[in-house]
Amino acid sequence: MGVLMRNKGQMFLITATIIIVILVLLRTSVNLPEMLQKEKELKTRFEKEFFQNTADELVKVIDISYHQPSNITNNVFGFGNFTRKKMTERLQSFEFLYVGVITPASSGNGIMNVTFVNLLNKPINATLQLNSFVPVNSSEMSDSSSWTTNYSIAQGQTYTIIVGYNGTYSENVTIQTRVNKSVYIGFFDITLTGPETTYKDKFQKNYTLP
Amino acid sequence: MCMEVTLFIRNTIFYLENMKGQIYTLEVGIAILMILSIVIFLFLNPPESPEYNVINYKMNAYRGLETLERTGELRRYIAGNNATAINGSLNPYIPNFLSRAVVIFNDTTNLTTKPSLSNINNSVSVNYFLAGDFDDYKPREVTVYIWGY
Repeated sequence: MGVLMRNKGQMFLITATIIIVILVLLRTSVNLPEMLQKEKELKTRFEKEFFQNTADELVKVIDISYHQPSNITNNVFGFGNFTRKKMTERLQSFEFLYVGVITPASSGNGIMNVTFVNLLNKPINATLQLNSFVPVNSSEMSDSSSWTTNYSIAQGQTYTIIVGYNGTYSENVTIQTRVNKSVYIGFFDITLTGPETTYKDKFQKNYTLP
Repeated sequence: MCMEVTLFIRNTIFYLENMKGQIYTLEVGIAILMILSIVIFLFLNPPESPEYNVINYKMNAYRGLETLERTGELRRYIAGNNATAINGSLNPYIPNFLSRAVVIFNDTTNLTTKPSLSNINNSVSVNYFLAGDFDDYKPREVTVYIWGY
């Protein structure tokens, strides 16, 4: 005890050293779960933004091909294939169902052209039904293929196409035709999967063509 | 000479023995400073994992590409296969101490020079898809490679 009393200053330094070691250990152990959580959140956010870019760019294909209407659906198909190939190389999954509809610029009656694109990584039996007419079935569509069918329509009317496949999938696409104007509708069903997150979206985009 | 050294040491010890209080105060002050410094260091600068920093670099590179895309510059540079211009435009987003390279790919191959990373232990890449520019459908992928962290 006498030794300790005579060396008070050194005891302070030793105690300070012990306190510092305890503080460092505490801070590291308390911080570790927080650090891992921050890391995971950032990785997820990064992946989500990349997927959003991919989906946005698929839609942009229509804007890019706007002045060549006959190429729009083919270009969307081509870009879907391109994106899927690149993502697969990085062990990310890309599943894409697309329906492109184009109506002529005419008055009275016309022919509506509907193309179904399968990039779902599996063969499917696709179905298209216009309003309450009898559904039209494709023969088995292999992955990375498209199928086109036509319908006689009256310009200025609104139509609904029911898109389906394998008897389990069903989505409605609304077509608002316009007299003397060509209209293009793209229906997108996208699923992108990566190690951190999954992006799923279904939507329709409508365009009046020049 | 020997005697002078001995005398000096003896005087120093005598002086220190009479300054015990001040020395004690100095030791306490040093102890308090040590604790305060560590507390400030730990709580003002929370430690981050190296992995977190790498993801931040990727995120910043991605932000850079996004900004270029929003201004229309990215599509213009890609139309001209100008990876150098894209690389230069990323200066504000990627720290100078990192090495980087930008490569433009089409469906089958790289259209601009790809860096050789076989001798590099740590590298990451950031990818960005573009379908082309208006009235010019051309699917491309821009990849930014980052290393040296």
